[in-house]
Amino acid sequence: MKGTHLGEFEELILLIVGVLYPDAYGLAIMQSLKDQSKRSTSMGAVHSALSRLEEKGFLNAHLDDATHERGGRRKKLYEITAEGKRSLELNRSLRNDLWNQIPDLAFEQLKNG
Amino acid sequence: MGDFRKKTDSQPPRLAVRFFKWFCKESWAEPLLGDLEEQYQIHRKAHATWIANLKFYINVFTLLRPFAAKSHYFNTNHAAMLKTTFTIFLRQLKRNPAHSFLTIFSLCVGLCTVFISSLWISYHESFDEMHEDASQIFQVKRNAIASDGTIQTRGGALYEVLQEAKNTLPAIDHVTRIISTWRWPSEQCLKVDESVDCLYRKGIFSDSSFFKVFDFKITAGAGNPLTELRSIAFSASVAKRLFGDENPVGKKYLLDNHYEVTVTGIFEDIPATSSLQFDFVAPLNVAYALWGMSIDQMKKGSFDTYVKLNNAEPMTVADQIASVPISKNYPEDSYLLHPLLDQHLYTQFENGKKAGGLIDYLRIIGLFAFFVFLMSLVNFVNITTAQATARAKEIGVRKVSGAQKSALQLQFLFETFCKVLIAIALAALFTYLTIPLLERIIQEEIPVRIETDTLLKLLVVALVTPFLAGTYPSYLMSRFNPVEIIKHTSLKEKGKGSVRKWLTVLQVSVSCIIITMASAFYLQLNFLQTKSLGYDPQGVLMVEPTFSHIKAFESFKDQLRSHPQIEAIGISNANMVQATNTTDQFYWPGKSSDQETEFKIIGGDQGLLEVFQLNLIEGNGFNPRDTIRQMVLSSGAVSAMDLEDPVGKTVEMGSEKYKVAGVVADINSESLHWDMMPTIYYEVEPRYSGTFYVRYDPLQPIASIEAVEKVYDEFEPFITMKYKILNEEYQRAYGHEQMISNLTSMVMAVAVFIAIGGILGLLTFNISKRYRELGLRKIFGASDFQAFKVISKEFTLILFLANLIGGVVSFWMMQEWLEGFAYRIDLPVYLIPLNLLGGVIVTFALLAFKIRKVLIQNPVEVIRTE
Repeated sequence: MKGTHLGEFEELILLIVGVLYPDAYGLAIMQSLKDQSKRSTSMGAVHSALSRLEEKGFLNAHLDDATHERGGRRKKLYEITAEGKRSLELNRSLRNDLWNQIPDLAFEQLKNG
Repeated sequence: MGDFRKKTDSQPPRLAVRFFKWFCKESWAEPLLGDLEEQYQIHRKAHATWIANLKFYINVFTLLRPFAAKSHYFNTNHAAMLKTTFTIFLRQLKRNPAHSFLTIFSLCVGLCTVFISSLWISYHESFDEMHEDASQIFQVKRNAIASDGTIQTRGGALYEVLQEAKNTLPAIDHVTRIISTWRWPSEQCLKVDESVDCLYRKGIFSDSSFFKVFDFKITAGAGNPLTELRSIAFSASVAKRLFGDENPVGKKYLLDNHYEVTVTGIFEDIPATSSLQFDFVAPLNVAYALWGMSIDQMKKGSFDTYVKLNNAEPMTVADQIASVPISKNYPEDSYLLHPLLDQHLYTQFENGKKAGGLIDYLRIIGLFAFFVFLMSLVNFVNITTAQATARAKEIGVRKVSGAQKSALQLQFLFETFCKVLIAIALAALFTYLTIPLLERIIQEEIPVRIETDTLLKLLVVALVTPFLAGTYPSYLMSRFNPVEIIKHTSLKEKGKGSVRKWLTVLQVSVSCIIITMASAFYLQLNFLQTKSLGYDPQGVLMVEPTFSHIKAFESFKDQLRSHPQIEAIGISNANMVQATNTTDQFYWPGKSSDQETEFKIIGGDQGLLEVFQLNLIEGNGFNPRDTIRQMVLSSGAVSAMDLEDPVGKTVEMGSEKYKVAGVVADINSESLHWDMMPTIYYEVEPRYSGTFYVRYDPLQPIASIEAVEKVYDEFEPFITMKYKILNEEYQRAYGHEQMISNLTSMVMAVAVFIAIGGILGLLTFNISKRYRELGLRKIFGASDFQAFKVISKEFTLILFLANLIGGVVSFWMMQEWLEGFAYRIDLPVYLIPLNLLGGVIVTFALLAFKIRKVLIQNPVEVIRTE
């Protein structure tokens, strides 16, 4: 059984898959990642993260119908699964929890400084 | 993906796409290629083509990740695969036993040749390895510049130079001198009491550092046995023969019946792989005492000398030896440290460097064995591919039911692997069984030593051979087109057939080389052994005298001559089969100051001239009553000295004056590798001679030897006479050549055998392929001879081509080899057409035999067969 831990990069990808629904495929995800987070990644990194997420069960993939673009090749489209959503929520609540625990004082001093 | 085949402007680089398709998993290829292409089109719009192309390449490389890479045998059940493959292999073996036998047997013969020859080679390479620091032991050789400018390498080194070198140079740990002659005093008649026969054994005399340089194991006695002056150490087996089960250490022993020594040690028997062979070792001064020489004489003079270094660079040490102060007295000498490990393999020197020796023959045999192995591989490939058509249907069915090329290739490789394993097992058995026979033929030991090293090599052979033998057939067979096979149209045989033809050409030309070379070896050796030496080697006995005979030589000689069978008796200090003493220290009237000619010197008497049939051309020969020292020159020496009327002239050798007493013809007294040298015979007294040479009536050998024995016993009743027959010694001088000739003849037989197998394989295949064609030809009225001609055309071409290639190569090899002999046969060029003729006869005979089977059948039957 693969680990179900969600890395930071994986989390970003997973979110973008959600954002791009229903047209989330490799290249689009990569470009969106670049536009939104100003992060330039390699095609290999994106696809390998996608395949890992699919293996962990956070993503479902299917091939769409062929078009005349892309030399007639089909795209591999991704969707978030329920498992993926749960994992995202877990990450988010953990983060919120941590936010709430930060004492106001911790940020107060920043203003003064 | 035909859309990538046409290269238009907007296509991504094809090479990158091909590379991508090669490594990428089928399931991922489509979406990923799509992404790649989409990205590429975007880049094309934004950037120059080359940048877009570059980015495409970069993207492809970033995708080179495990998730996308092909995993080859994913989802394959390996065990089940292997099992079926093995079952099919066994069925194939059974279905076609003749074919299986032929392939396995030819591999087996090739492997067996490789095994035996590598055992033989590694045996010779293992010489002298038993010493722990073998790589640090060197023999000191002396390089001297000869008159003709060449550098002559000699064995002996001056003791005073090495003594000083040892004392001053830190690189040298030990120096040891060795006296090891081929006869007395190194050879001793060993016995403890007078009632038993002699045990003739060879020993050496050396310094006390001997056991520090060499690692011969001492089994009894305290420490170093050579520290006392009158001591001796025996080998274990000789000690047992001499002293039985008693402890020999501390016992007294009489050498030559008069010189008492004490046994101070026993050493393990010297292994056969040592180039120093001896059964006893005694201090140097013992040898001098036996010779009746003083210890002072021992300090001067040159000896076979070995040094042990402490990891120093031998070249540097050699230079250092040449520059110790005392070396200034010998400015023309330089030194060569010849490694002990090379001693057995390299015995010839050229220009002051090792040049060759047995190693040349090891290489020739190694090369031949490799050739034979190559031929057996070719046979395997030829027979397997020829048989491939028979399995075409199996391949077709497999392909149709979804077998991939790689799976088929794997299957055939596995089959080859099984066959190779069987062949290796058979070859090992075969090797084991044939070695005793071989040892008798080449008269040399081939010990079978199984070490981890051997097993490792065997493993490499087991893994590499299947690839060498199986790659091409499996490649070929996995590429059959299933549709064509199942439709039963003829397979495209043209391309494949020509590879097979070329392989056969290779095979036949290699066998042609081996046959020609082996014949040349045989002819040359035969020539050497029957060549006139200048005297008749038949009917000469070499008798080893003892001190009693030498003392009373004149009466010994008179008694011997009273026997009618004995024709002449002479003495010499040299071995007349291998006389190697030379010097240029000669002065004669009219010698120009810059002339430095080397002469061979042989000490002898008038009797020696008679024994060796050296008839006097001028002068009267040695006159024993003359008080002045005399010498007899060979006619070669006279012309080298440019002397007119030599008889009566005075020639100085070293510091001694000699009167020329006669001139004789040149004879050969050395290996025929070398030319006859101008020879000078000088008079020696019997006490300096080592051997009596007796010429007897060759028609009565037994009576003659008995007569000599009788006279011998009168002077030395308790010692068994030791003698050699000159002719046998002469044959023995060519021991290596004889052995190589025998060995190559055997390799030749194997090569011929394999070549015939190869031709037979190709023939069978060709006839079976043209079976129906032959039947049709017969129906249309072709005569048997015409049918024969159709098939034989191809083979004639192969034979001609192969003999041409083989002829050229062997011509060159023969020339190279024969140049090493001063006396050699004319280049046997006639062997090459002879070879061709033999090949044609054998092939046509096989062809006639095979084709007859087809031709005597009813042609209708022939056509009907599928």
